[in-house]
Amino acid sequence: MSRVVTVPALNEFRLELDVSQELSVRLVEGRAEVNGFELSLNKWSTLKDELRCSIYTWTGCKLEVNGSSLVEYTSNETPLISYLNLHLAFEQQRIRARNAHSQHAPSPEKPNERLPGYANAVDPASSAYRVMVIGQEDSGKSTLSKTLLNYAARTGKGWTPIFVNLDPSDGGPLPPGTLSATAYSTSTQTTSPINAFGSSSTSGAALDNSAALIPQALPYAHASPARNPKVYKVLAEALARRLDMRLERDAKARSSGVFIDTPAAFSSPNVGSDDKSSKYDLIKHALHVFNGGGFPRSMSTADNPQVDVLLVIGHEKLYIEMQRLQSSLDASLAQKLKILKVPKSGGAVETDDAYRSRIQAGQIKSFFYGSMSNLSDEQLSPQSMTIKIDNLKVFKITEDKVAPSSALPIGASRVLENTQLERVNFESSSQLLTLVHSLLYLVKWPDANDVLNKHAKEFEGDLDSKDLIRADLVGFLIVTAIDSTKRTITVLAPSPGRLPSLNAVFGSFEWQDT
Amino acid sequence: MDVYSFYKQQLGTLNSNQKHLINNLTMLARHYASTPNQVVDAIHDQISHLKPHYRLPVLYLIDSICKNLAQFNYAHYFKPYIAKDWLESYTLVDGSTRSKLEELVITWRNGGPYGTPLFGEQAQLECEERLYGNGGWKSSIPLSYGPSRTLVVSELQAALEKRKLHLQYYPFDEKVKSHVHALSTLEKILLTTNVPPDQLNQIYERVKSMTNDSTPLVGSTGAGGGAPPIPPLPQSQSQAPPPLPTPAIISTPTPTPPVQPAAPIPVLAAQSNPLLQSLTPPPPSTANAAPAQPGSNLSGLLQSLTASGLLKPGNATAPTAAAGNGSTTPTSLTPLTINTNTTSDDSDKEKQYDEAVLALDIVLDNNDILCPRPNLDKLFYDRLTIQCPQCPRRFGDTKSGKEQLGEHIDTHFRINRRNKEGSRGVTRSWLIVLRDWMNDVADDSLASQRGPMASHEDSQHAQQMEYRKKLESSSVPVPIDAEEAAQLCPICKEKFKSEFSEEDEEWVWVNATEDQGTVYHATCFNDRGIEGMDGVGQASSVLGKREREGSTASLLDSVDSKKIALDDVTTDSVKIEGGDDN
Repeated sequence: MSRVVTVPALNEFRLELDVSQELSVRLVEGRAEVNGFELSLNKWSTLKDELRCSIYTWTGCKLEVNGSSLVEYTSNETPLISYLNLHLAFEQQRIRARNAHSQHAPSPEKPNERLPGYANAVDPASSAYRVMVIGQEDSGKSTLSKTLLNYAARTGKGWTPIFVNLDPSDGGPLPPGTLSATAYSTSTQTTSPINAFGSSSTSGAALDNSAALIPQALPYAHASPARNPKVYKVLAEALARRLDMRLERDAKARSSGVFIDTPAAFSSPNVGSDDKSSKYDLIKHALHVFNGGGFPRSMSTADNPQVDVLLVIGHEKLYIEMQRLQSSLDASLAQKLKILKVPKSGGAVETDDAYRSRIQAGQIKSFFYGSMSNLSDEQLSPQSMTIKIDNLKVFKITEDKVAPSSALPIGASRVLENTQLERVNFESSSQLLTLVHSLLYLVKWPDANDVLNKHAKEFEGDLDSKDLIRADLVGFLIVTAIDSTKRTITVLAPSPGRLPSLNAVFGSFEWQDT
Repeated sequence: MDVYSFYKQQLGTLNSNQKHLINNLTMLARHYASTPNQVVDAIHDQISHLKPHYRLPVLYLIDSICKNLAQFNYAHYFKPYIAKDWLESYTLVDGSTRSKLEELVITWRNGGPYGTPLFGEQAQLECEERLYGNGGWKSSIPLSYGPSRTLVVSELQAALEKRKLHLQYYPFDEKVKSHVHALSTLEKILLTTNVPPDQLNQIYERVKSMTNDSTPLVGSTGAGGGAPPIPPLPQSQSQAPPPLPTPAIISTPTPTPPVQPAAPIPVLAAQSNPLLQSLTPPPPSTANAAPAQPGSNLSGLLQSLTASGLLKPGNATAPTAAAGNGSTTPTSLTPLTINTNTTSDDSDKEKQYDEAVLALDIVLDNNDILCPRPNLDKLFYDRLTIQCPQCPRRFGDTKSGKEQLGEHIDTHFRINRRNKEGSRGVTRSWLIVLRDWMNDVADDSLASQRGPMASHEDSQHAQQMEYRKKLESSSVPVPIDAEEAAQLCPICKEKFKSEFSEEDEEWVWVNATEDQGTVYHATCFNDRGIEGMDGVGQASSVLGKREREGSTASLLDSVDSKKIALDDVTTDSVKIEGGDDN
């Protein structure tokens, strides 16, 4: 049943789909956008996978809609005006940053080597804003992050903003359980919550972000930071340092800005806090680690790029708490940090755990098998292969078993343990069988003798070489079958050929074909 | 060896019309894009020495290089030779190859940036004159022989493509819209039915008359050939006030004041105009039904199309020309055209945008971000007036914007082609390690607009081919024992091919490998799948164009063949580790 919907200017058409519903929509008149992604005139898009989205129009538009949905209505109470204002404020800073960079660094950069004096080329003024979004479950954090990201990528200025996903329950462009940083040079279409942030690259060519992204990721392997806050913080910091290394070389990304999406756990005051008196430790930690600390030492910390803007979505109490928290931060951090309250969209819909696990399963599946997007019909061909379990080193990330701070002697602070990984040998077959359907995160440690990796070692200090934060996440496997007598496991690998590594981390995510 | 000799030597491999050979040579041309002259000379010298039936693949190669490597402007270097090479080949080859060459030259007509001729107007004309006589395609002299079906289809598709492209920029140009409809209908008929020659000729003449109609289209060039494309006025305005829907109205647009193409108002006007609605093409159901009753129905359809003004009678060349003069003159004089033609102010436009944004009085403050500021969304559109025909990407109406669009459309083309061929075997790439990621720095060059994966695909393909070649060239001496020499490959049960190896001075089986006393085809052996992987390889880099020195091991990682676990590949043996046999 096809229908035409007329949406007045500054209104949005909201849609909610049920599990197996698919809905086609096309713009027949005017202009419209979904999370900042402009719709093409007369091109059908298919929305699916329980997508909840809103099609916004600044000018007024007519949409043709085909298919059924749970709910659809037009609303004039939208936060888009504030989103656009935020975008333009950030755009001002991007332009200033680019101008500052082109004034200070006239010579072409040599990204592969650090020339004498190269570090000085990183002018603090050449960084656009780092923006962190916090809010409660289903408040629209990812929607806001994505809209700002899409707006930046859409201006035609050639920005390549970096999206940092700190929410392991939603992998963004990757399967869940990951923390990642990804540069975007074009805006991303929203057709499904599974690939709302596009997906990582394939062996085929791609034009949109549906199969072209190159994320840098670390494996946390669980859905919530609350499960193991210590490891979570270590990984968030490691990701921040990796981001610094990229931005130090990538002037274009530096002047394009960073958008950090966070899990809902950030807005729970006690998650990740060592004691009751300290609240919102995850936020404090994230604000501290994303401060450009990995930039060249020659730069004084006060000049480091840092999180400049903290956007708090629609929660008065959280906003007040953040203002209080600001005073407890380091002076240099607190001074530059702007905390803003952004209205929550009426279109934000509450979801439940079952919904989230369906999306997670979808993200895992689409990593291996691909998904159909509107621009590239993509079906991937993963490979099944059998491996002797004893050839594969399987690790689990150790649980946070250390005693609480209160148990430490007065004045003592905890030193981070070097090794966060524990090898699991699967000696008994019942132990081995627990691996079935697990999502494995393939990790690889850089070769210590690789001279090209001297940068990678810089921020590691004297940590053990098998530490999790030094490991590169190079891919994922699914354990599809186990032969406990032969001690072999059958895995699904995204690509054929030799595995890039035989070290795997497993956690709490599982997937099986249904 | 210099590039010329090397490329010429490589051209020797192009002895049949195989896609992968052409792709390889295209990749090689990409590699030598800094010395285009040497590559072009090598190809030109090669083609003039080739026997007729080897020429088509080389012309396909030229086509592939110029279209796929548009950013290196190879077409410019081929320009002086192309007409001669094509014409000479056309005279030499047989009938079926001829029609392939005809198809090829027609794709060149709009193959350049903005639908301009790939090798320029002059070369295009020279080639087409051979097909259509003096004046090329645009001449009104009828063909001395009946047009072939493929020729008509290609002409029709070329005309259709051009109009579709035009519509992407000017979606409300009702006239072109009706052309597109008529042409698609004809295309459907042509492709689904066996049209008799006289009607074929009729269609051919109609298509030709449409092409001769001087409606300004995107990509239409002036007589000079080198002039930048002149964006036309939206046609919807110019056809608004006619009293009666007669064919004459369509071809005599009245000069009207310039309209901003982006303004949405004329759109509504055009759509709500009942007159225009009466002119709109018959509903698609008619078109779908038509192929079911071919032949007699076709002429009826043509007549009805002609009657409704969608097609002009084929012989009405004189009024067309007159109308053409009437419509082009005012167009070229309008201020709009002059504005969009000044492309030198790329940086000015950017500056204006920057200043406009910086001038906004936005403060990062809770109340200020709630303030409605009307029309600011225009910042997304005003500068970026050209939208990609196939996706929402926008580009500036500037030189660099158009170049980017050209690149971008090119990528669409390649992806569409790949999708048509079936995207079998596309896999998710492994993620890259920190060292690669932190150096995956985007630059401002046009190449980066193509997306990082575009060139990765190509290089991966090249690696795959290289690997395959290695396998195929591996050899095993033919056993002396007659019984053994008669053995078949245990996997495919086919015979081995023997060849005399100059190097080893003995007879060898090519594409063969020996494993534990049994001889297999090297390719079969590679494809058979091996269980129990061992050893750790390198993560293959997906950094695309930023090529790094890769070891053989990392090259092999991205080889797109099934389940390989080869540790070492040499030209004469393939060693397997960790297999079942161990």
